[in-house]
Amino acid sequence: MIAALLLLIPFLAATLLVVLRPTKHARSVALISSLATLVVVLMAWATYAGSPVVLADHDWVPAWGLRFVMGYDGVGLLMLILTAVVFPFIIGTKYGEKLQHPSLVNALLLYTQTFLLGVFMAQNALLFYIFYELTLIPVFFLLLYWGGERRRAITIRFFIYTLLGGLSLLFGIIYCMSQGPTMNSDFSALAALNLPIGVQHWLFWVLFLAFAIKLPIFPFHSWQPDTYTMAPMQGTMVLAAVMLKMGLYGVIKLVFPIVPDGVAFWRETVIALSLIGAVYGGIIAFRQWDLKRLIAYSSLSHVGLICAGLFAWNSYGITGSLYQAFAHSILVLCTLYLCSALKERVGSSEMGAMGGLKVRTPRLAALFLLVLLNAVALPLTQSFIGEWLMFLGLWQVHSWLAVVAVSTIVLGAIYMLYAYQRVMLGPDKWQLEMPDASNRDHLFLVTLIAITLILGVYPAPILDLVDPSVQLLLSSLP
Amino acid sequence: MVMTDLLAVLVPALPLAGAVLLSALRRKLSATVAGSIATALIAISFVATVILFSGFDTEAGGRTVRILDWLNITGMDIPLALRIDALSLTMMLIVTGVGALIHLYSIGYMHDDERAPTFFAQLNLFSFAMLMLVMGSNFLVTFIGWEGVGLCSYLLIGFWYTKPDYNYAARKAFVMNRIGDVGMVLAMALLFHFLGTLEYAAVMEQAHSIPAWGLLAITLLLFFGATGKSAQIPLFTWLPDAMAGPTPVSALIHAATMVTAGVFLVVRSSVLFDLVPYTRDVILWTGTATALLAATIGLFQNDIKKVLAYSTVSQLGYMFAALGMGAYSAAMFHVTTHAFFKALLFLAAGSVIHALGGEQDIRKMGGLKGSIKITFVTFFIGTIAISGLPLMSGFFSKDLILAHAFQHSPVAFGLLVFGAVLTTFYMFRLLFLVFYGTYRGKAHAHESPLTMTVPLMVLAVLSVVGGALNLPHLFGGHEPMKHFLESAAAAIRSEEIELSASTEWILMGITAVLVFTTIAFAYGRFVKRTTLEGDEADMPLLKRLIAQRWRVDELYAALFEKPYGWLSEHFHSIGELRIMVPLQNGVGEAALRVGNVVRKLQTGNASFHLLAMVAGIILFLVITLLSN
Repeated sequence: MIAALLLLIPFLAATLLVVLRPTKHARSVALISSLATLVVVLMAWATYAGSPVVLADHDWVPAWGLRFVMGYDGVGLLMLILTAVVFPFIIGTKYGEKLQHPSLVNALLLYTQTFLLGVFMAQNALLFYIFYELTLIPVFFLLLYWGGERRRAITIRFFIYTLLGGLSLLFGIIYCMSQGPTMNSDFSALAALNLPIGVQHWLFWVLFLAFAIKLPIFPFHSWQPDTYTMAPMQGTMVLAAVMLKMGLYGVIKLVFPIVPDGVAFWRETVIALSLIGAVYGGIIAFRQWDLKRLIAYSSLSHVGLICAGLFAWNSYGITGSLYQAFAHSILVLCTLYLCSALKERVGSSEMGAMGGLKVRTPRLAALFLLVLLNAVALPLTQSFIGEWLMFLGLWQVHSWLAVVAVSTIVLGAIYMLYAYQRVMLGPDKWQLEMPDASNRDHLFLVTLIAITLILGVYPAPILDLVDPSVQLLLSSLP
Repeated sequence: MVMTDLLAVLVPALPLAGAVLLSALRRKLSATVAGSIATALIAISFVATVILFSGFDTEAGGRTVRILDWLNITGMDIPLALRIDALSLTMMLIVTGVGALIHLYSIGYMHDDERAPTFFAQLNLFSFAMLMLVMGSNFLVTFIGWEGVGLCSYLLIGFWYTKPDYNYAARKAFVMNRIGDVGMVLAMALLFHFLGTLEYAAVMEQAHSIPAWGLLAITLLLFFGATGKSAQIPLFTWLPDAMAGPTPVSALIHAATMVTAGVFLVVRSSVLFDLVPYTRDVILWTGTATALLAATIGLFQNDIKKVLAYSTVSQLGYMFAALGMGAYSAAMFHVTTHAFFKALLFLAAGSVIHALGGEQDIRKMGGLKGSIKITFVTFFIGTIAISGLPLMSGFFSKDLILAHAFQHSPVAFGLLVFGAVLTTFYMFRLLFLVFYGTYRGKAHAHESPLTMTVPLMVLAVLSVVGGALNLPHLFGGHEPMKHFLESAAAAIRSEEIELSASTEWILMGITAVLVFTTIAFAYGRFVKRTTLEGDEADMPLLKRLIAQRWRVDELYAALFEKPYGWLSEHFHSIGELRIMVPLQNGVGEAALRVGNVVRKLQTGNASFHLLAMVAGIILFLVITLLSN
């Protein structure tokens, strides 16, 4: 029932938009659909008792090992919640950018949501793969038709790059199936494979490559800054707030259980790469001139830390990583929204065109500041919980990894405060007439900031959701 | 019992409520109303603290008030909880008591600022954070406050945000504090790694089970965190710049409370530090070096607030020197008296600045003792208190540190006495140049309103009698503060002066003679004839180096700031644009070439195939779903 609702609500609403092409109420339809999805997910959360839930279990194409198995555990439910929470904001954000064909944009967003929800419910590797690749298609069109400068070249590059990773993943899944007694690609069946260690060493990269690109971690990130900068605001939001979380989820569901020895062998390498990315992105972000590009590099930095925490491969690391994944989604929504609010007022997202805006827009400046608190992971914000747990997790792996990870808190402070100063503080250089934050800005940002603060003070709802599943995952590992 | 818990929660909750309320209503309230609300709230917190204090039984030890589960997962239980014991109560009294006076003062000082309500909201927020810092029952709750005060410090230093160098100063303060925070976070991670808990009580109980290298690392990292917040070498350069903030902020945050957080942290963890003599030596010499370095810089500064700022850095150095000698209660005593006289000095300086319409250069002051009498008298009292004139509060607290030093290390004693001489000199130079001689400026000086002078008078009284809080045996006292603090930190019990009474009298005599001689010298130099510092270019080399603050800022800029900017630009221009992007394009082109080959094998349109595939899958899905 829940699976059907979650797939059908956004899908039907999207199809409705495509067929009827309403120009006026497109966004309202999409918004209602996404809110309905949110209600369903919240109901699922309310009834979740702590043990994995199976929603559907049917054979589909048995010869291929493709079965329609849907369900979720705490981790999956967290991802569903994240997706459901984020989309109403993404759909509601459309900030002044005059997008052509609003009904199509909203339809593409809803299709993306459908497939994302599918990804996070699928309990069969092939089914997961299908949804995983399907998400790419609406996003592809979104970037190709509604993107900014150089959109064609950048979109195609992005598409090819992620598709390559996807193919590698597909090959890995098929290989795994061929090793089993029956052609069955259920997560549970693949987890029981016990592949030889030698195989696991190379298979790890075959499976992980897709997720390493999707996240992305260093050095697979070069598609990301351009794509984030060029994409329409909503596209960037989808990419950064939800799509990259598929990478984390994939690691937990496919990489950890299938190739545990491969993970044990490679995890310090992956952590090192992730942390290099975290430091590298954090340093680059400091001197970026375009706010959106700064957000892209700061996202690279944050995601590096999240991936490092995940590969700490212990209770604190994984829980912290997942917590931080949620925090990061909320954070990028806020920063990207601020970015578009500023672009709307100034006419550009370049910080050289800003400066001293606080004089004109004190409310917007105050909101920026509150978002900044989460960005630099001040205690009592969501990010602090995640970062603290990840630091502990990394410490258990190696003290020097923790030292590098902790040092990123300085980098974040450097580039975020510098950005805030360049945008908001100083004398009113340009003397532009501009409106202060509107009611809609407040509704959007204050709600998200409230989530940030509430989950920073009282993280129990998310921690209690994730913790048992993480314990279960760890206990099942050799 | 429930009543005391409620009071304990109320103490930080009131200023937090004030911060939220005032920022919500910041456009509707006048400066006076906002200031009154903020002051009233912190004053009620003070009253609550006094009630807690008077009902506190040192025999029973501390109480923990658990507010909320915070981080509670398998293997970890870190609650949001407060701890009421002798140490937190001492700090709470300072934070709310001195804090309330400074809030009151700000009503007058910020009267004409159109953003005064925001100012008071942030001042209240600071009080909340500072209270969390001192009241936390575990390291992580302290860290909430630790970062919170850092944030408020950032906001208030950059309060006048249209001035770029103020913003730079604010950013510098935050980033340097963050560098220290890395140490703090790592120390907490280590502690948790070894003990599985961060509760102070449990950590101190199990401290012995931590291996020696762990203790060494933890204490050094904690101290590194403390150097950031308390402006010690190497992380001290932010504090003088922090004077960009409104003067009450300098008094509250950058003199009386926040900068003593590092001292508090070491005392809070004194069990750990007692186990590692090596770290204590590091602290002793860092503190001593900071005390002297900052004192020398203070000699030639011309900005009234900058002199006081370097003086603060220097006095914090004394506190750390005391900590390094294991004299924890002596450090806390100096924290307390310093809170009185340095807050007083800053507020009085603010009153001078207020009187002269914003002038901060002491070369343009002089002869003000006639025109702003209350300010003069209170500043005078502050000056003799910090210089340690006999029977003033600073006399007792500084002498206690010096006596410990004498017993611990003659070298440290000599250096700290020399520092005391320097302190006396720069403080009396300040006093004489501002209030004596003839007026060298153009403004018409006028005395400040009552809201400003009343706090001055109260703090002046405290600066005089504050020594009674820990009156030594030599003067017929029983060191009440030391005995009070013993109940919170066992290490204090072993902290005894083992000098004979005559030795102590001689030590006091020596410092007293030195102080009076210095005053006489300063009198000759600045009152008999007014010696003003000329251009830096005309100074002899060493003096110029000192006047230029030993060029530490320039050193840090060359070592860290510039390379970091360079790194940021070149990671982008070379790492990204020259290496990563071409690499990625190569992969993409290779893939496209393969794709073209494949496409030639099939006839048709790739995107059509793609869409067909998607449509097929979707149809399949829908049918499957519906058929169930």
